[in-house]
Amino acid sequence: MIRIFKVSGHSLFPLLQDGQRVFCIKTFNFTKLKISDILVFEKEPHGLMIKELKSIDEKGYFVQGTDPFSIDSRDFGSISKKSIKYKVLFKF
Amino acid sequence: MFKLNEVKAHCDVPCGIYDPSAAQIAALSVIRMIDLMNTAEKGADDVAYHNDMARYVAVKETEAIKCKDEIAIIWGDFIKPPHLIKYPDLHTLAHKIMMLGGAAKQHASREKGMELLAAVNEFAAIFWEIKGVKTQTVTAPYAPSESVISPVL
Repeated sequence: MIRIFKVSGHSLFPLLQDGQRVFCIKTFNFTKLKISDILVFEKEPHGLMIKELKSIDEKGYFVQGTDPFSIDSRDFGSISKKSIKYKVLFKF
Repeated sequence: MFKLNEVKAHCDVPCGIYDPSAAQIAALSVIRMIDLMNTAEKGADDVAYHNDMARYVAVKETEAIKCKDEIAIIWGDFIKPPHLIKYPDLHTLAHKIMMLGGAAKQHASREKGMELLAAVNEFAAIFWEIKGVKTQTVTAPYAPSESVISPVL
């Protein structure tokens, strides 16, 4: 239910910094997600990624980093709710 | 006690291959071309002399541009805002390299070439420090045999 992850990379700076820890709660199909939530999701071939939720529409969940070079929905499109594994509660 | 799982907040294509050595080799090449220009002898064959000189100038031009391009890629793609907090003069240094690269094309002065190499070496030292890799100063084992900052691998 609860997981702590270590952030690797700078794509969410200044929201999250490289090496910072995030305290997360598991999400389920019924979990309500809102814009600007920081989400941990599975995306091949990258593996477990972390990005900010920017919008929700019929195509799915559009996640994005703050860095212009961030690899996110701008590259691989919206993600499914099933692929979203955790939501960040707080960073430390 | 336990290992934390990582979540990727990565940028760019996930190759992560950045290395300032290409810029250092380009800066060395600029110096080498200047040395060749300064020692070229005119001799009896005027055409051959001008051909050689034209080639030295062309290579110097190409290598100076390459040096700028390699640094610009690392500066623009690899360097992130947190790095600038730790190295606040990095923008100034990168801009200095751009200007010295231009000066290396404009002039045939060895001093200008050495300034370019020194600035690129300074950039390389910061780059490897960011990567957590120790560096050493070594002498290039080929002409112009100048010092370069190199990672200890």
